[in-house]
Amino acid sequence: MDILTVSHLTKVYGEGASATRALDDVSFSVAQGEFLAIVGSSGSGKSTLLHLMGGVDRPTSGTVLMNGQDVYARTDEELSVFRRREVGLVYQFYNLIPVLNVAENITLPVALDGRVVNQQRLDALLDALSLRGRERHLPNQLSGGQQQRVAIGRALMNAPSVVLADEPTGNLDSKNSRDIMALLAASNRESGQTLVVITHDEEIALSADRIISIEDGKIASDERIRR
Amino acid sequence: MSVMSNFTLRSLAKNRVRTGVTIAGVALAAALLTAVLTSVTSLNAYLYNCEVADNGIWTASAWTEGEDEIAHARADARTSDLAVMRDVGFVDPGEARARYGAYLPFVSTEGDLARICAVKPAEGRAAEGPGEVMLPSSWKGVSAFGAESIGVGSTLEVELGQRELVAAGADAGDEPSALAGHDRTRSGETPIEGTGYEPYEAGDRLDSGDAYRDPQSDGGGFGEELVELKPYAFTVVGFYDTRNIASSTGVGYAALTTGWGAGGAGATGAAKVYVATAGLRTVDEINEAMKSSFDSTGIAHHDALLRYAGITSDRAFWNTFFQLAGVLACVIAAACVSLIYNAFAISVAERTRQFGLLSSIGASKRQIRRAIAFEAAVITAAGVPLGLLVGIGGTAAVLGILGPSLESIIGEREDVVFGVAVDPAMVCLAAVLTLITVMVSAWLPARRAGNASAIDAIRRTRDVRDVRPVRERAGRAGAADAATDDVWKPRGFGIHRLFGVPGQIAWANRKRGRARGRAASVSLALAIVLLMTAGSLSTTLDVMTGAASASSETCDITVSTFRSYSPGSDGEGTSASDGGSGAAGDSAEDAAGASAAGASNPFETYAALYAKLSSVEGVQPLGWQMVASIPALMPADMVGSSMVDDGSGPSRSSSPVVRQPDGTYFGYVNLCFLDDEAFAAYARSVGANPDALSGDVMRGIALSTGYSNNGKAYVQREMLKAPGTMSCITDTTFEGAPIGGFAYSGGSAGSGGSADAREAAFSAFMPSDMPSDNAAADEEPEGQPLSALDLTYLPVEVVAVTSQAPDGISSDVPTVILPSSAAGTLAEATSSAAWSPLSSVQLIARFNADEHVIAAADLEAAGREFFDLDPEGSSAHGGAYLYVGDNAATQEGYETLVVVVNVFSLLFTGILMLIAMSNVFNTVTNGLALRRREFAVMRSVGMGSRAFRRMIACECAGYAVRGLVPGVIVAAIVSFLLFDAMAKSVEGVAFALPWGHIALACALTLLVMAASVAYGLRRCRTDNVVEALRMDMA
Repeated sequence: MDILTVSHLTKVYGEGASATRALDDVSFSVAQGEFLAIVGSSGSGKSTLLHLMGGVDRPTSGTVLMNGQDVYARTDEELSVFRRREVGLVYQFYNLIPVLNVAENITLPVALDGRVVNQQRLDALLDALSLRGRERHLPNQLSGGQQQRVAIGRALMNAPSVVLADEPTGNLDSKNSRDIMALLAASNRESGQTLVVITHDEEIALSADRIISIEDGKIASDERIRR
Repeated sequence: MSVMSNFTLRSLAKNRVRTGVTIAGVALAAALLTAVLTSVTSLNAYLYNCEVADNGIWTASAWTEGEDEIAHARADARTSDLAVMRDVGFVDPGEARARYGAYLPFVSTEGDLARICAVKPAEGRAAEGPGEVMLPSSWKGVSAFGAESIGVGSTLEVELGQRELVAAGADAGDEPSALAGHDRTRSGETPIEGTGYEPYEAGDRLDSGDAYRDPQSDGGGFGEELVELKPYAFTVVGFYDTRNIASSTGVGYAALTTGWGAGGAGATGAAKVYVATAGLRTVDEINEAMKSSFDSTGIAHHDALLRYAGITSDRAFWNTFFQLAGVLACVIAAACVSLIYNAFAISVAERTRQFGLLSSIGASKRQIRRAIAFEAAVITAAGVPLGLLVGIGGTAAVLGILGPSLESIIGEREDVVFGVAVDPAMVCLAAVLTLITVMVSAWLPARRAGNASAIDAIRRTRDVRDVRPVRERAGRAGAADAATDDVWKPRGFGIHRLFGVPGQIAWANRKRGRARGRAASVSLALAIVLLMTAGSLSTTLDVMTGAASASSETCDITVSTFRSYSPGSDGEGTSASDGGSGAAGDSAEDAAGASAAGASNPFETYAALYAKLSSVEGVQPLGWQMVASIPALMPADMVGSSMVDDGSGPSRSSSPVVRQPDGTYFGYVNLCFLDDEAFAAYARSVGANPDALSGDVMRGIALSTGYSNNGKAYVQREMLKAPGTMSCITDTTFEGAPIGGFAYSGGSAGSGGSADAREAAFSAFMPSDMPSDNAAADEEPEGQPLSALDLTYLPVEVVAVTSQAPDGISSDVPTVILPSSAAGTLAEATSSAAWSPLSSVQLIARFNADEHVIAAADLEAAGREFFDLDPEGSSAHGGAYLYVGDNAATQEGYETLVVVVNVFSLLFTGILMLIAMSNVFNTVTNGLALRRREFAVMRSVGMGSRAFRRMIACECAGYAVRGLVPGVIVAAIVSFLLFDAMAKSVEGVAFALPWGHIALACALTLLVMAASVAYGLRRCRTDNVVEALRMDMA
């Protein structure tokens, strides 16, 4: 079953002569539980695609269906709720809130939703992310790998159906990269979450179920990896 | 606490300085609003207390004849207290009638008169029994009612009677209709609907509320007489000051006794009841309470008290007052909105990325907006109480210092202090207004934060987007040779040569963050404008108070007297005429005045007066001048342009000179005689040799310029421009008969008229033909032209012309300063004249005294004694005109005013300065804080501290130029507008750009900017480069 369907998605930045076509009529679907890697050179439109899938940006034309519902038919307010409940976003630059500590950063989407934090889930995440004992630390007191693990924790806290990661290991050394990817893969395997990862790392790409290659805003190839 | 609130609080805590500045801004706004509103309530409270001190606490009064009505009112819960003033009877004061009123009404009082009506003994005490009486102070020392000189302890033998209305028509038998059906409502009372009228009939009794019925002024309808006269004796126990509503009756101030029951001495039983109500908030409620007790035709309200108590509103008073407070509050609110808005805008801009990130993980716009609103609420909660305290404390402090001065300006009362009065409603209003100010200021930034772009936050493109693409430049650069030499191509008018690469970066930076840069420039411009406005305002006020006080004298007390000299009569006639406009020399009509000296020469009389005045204890004589006004013919080359009535417009002088057919000019001149010593000193001070001017010859120094008020402004005019000899006219006859005087008809014939008409503007009139002031123009008799007259001249030689007037002399007619020894010559020349050409002779004697108030009174008494004037009588009626001016008191008044004005302008300046400076601080420091990461990058690529500082200095210079230049321009415009406003009342002051203020404002602004930059950079420098680079957020 397809959880995410992208059809004829186009995104143009700017206007007139200076207009840049970041995405040009892209269509594909992602099945539930699938691990999709998106590869492509810099500026090919990967990140734009990811943001459009996550409800962060709005497309110029085309639709994104999540669980059969049009993401961009929602109002801004509904889109906010969508972002905090149904997707988890992980960025290359961890993008944590500097004034909030580790635990607060992780539970931020829950808090924004006005719900009570599930302490068991937080504990489980902290254990899984090896952040036990660092709950009260502020982001600037952590290493890069630790900060990225916090960001992943934030993305997973609400148990979203789709996790979108934009070069999550781009800033990390190989050991940390492997740890991070192991975490994401485990979440994908164990809870059946759909995982979409943008990466330049061939090793990571090859560990995915499927690789979509983007060039100049268009899909250049779409291959399934057979194991 | 919600996560967003938590986030907000931590952000506030993290940026302590910014939070502090914002709270200070809010506190400042609250303090200013509180101060303005508290000043209003304090002034109101002071006026209320003054009114209570003057007239007591009663709110309404009514007439009654019923004891049960008084009892009812007393029992009414709405009455807090009441006083009754019951008629006892009336006494005919006899000879003193004209002075003290038609009757001396005797009124018996009940209740706390001192508290309710503020009728308090000024001397002695109030009456405590039916045989005692407290009189108005005006009766003190008067010989009447069997007492030689009424004082405390005197016994008054009076015949108390009752007033009865009598028909006094031409035919007393006719039913007089003039007052039939007359409304008995007394003046000051509001008629109550439905109570009807009480017709008057002959035989009716009148009470003390009724005005005196004079058959002459009543159209012959009614008169009145005292009946049932019975003798009584009263002991005077005290006197009270008659500055009061309650003590005044329809026929004069009352003699207050007590303990007389209703109908005592056969009185009507009429009583006026003064009721102090409690807890009533409207006039209707007060009327309702009064009507429930009194079946009266009218109720009088204590209007002033009700106004200050906020029960009635008097537009005329509140408009000015609230307008002033309103304008101030608006200026403050506007300045504070700009300050607080800036603080919020910066605080939000600083966290735009954070808001974007929050948005990307699902924070809704509403949540983000609420976070800002919460921030505003927290800041308000911290700032407002602080501001209220500071505002009230500040007002209290200022009133503590200025209170006495303000009291003397508004009007002092004993025991009433102008202090701070806090009205909880006004304090709440200040708090609410501040809250509104903060919410308005936070609204736009909150919207902006809600719209923070998640995608920009994630992509860190914020700065990139801020740079507006300059396409043409980019195109040209692309087309140009892309050699590496051109990578750092020269830009910015050679800035690179002066400042190198840092300068170039700064120049490039000028385009980034336009909004932020503009905020800094705008705040700089605003600072300049505010500072210069404050400076110009205080200069304007200084000039205006200076102009007002400059016209006052240089001595403590001036005694002046006008007398005209008439050799035809035995003594001297007197005249209050200023000798200029209208009929001059109408001494025939003057009452014969002085006799003291009996001298035929006014100068000798004045010398005697001066000697007498100088002997007054405690005064230090400074000298005297005598000014004689006399008609004269002047050669054309002497006459200054301002004096000539050339028909170009409204008369520019009160006494112009008029060209004659033979080319000479005719007009009145002032001959001013100084005592010889003073003259010698004056002559030396203007560079003339006094010895050459002394003696019997009329030889003097003329004043070239004088100030006069043309009705709108003070203007300087040229009076005499060159030395020469003028011919003063000492005697004039027409066909052998003395003339009555000269009259100037410039008003009708001079302006706009033909040259001939102007030449004839001065004409001589025979005594019988003198035009009177109120004669219609067409009835004006024909005068005789000068050419038809036989004139006798006395030459007066002007040897020098100077603009420097001796102390105490200011004139707007041609003036010649002469030694007093020459006065004899003039007296001699005019003594035998058939007609007195001296329209008036004025003495101005100047004195200093330590106790100027006492000395002024003593001098006045001495002067009156000299001229044998009535000590109380009006000076103009009583004989010679005598005026004692207490310049020291006037000067003290001006000084008080200047102090008040200065303190207020200083406060205003200080406050605007604080606002302006915190604005600059906020924008500059935050502008730098937003770029910490960028600075770290620059340092990481090898920019040294020196280069870094140079870059910042260049950027600051850019901001400064873009802020100061428009700031100075706007400020100059504002200064000019202020000057323009001032120029409407003071002429002859040239507009000059207040360079001092500009320099000061610029220096101050730059100083604050430098301090802000230093502070901002120190914060940046404490960052470890790596730390800053790692910083997640900018």
